[in-house]
Amino acid sequence: MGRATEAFTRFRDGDRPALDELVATVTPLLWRTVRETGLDVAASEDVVQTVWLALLRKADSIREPGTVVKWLITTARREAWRVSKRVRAEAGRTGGVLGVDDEEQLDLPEQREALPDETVFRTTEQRRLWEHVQLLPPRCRQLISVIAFADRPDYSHIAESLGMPVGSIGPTRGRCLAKLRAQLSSDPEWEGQLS
Amino acid sequence: MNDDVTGSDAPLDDSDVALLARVATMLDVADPVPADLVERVQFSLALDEVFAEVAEMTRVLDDALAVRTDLADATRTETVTFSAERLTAMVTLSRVGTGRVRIDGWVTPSGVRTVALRMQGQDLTVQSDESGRFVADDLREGFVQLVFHPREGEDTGDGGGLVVTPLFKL
Repeated sequence: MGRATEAFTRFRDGDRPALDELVATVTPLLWRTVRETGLDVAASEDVVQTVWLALLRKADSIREPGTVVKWLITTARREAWRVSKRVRAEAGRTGGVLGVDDEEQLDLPEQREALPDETVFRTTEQRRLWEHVQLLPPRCRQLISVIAFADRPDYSHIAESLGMPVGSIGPTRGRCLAKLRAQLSSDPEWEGQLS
Repeated sequence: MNDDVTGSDAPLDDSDVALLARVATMLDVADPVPADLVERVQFSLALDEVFAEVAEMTRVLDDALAVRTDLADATRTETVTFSAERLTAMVTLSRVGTGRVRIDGWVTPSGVRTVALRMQGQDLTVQSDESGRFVADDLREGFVQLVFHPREGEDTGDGGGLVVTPLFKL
């Protein structure tokens, strides 16, 4: 059982502090989920908060505690798309008023993150790893980035809530992780060990 | 799964889990979860009351205007809108001095209702007037969560008719 399922089960049984544990455990994963949809930092913070409030409201409707991470991710993605649609509509209006050109508008929410300032990475290895993750097909990049913050028992639920087929990751490595490993092992600059 | 990538059928092992842990460490550096986000979420969930709805929060892009007209920080305003099934609200935040903020709000359907402001270390309750307008002045900068109570005599149903918002920055 993953930590999230365990904390959620205790919360449902009346242990209020377990909710704080659940928030601390799953927020990094939700952050990744929302950021991968292309929303900026401020909007992503709002989405993450809204998702948690929704959980507090709807906790009783989640029949199977093992699906709590899946419920959170699905809710986060739905909310992120709603906000991103709204932001784009707003940008269209503001752009019209201010004479922002089309190119600038396209920059709005679906833009991929630019390479973080190289100095943010403590090691060359981290920078290479960032580049390799960016090189993955978008859905694989999302899956790997979100799974990285999850517990193993939740992998298959997460793949499913990200719209990946069953078997994308879990008992087997799956296509995305195998791809990342293949990229790393063919990179002469990658000095990290893979086994 | 029918796969063309070598190794995708291999069982997930410790080296995979170790690689994912390194991806997590790298992402924590590249795009960290904002420092106090977890605490803010925990605060916003520590509501005493049961609530009926979470309002959808939308920031209106005054920022884009502010940047382009070079408005000084002192006069800069921001607008946030909230929408729920039973009400919508618009809130304008303006700076009224160093580290102080004023909120001008407007809720529809209009009518006298209580609006509670939950802030870290400071709670405040205000009433909206008949037209649905409410004001909270001279607030400390920080984060606030609004809790809209039903109007007097309103049929509240499940959850006491309370509508809560996410925490947002003053």
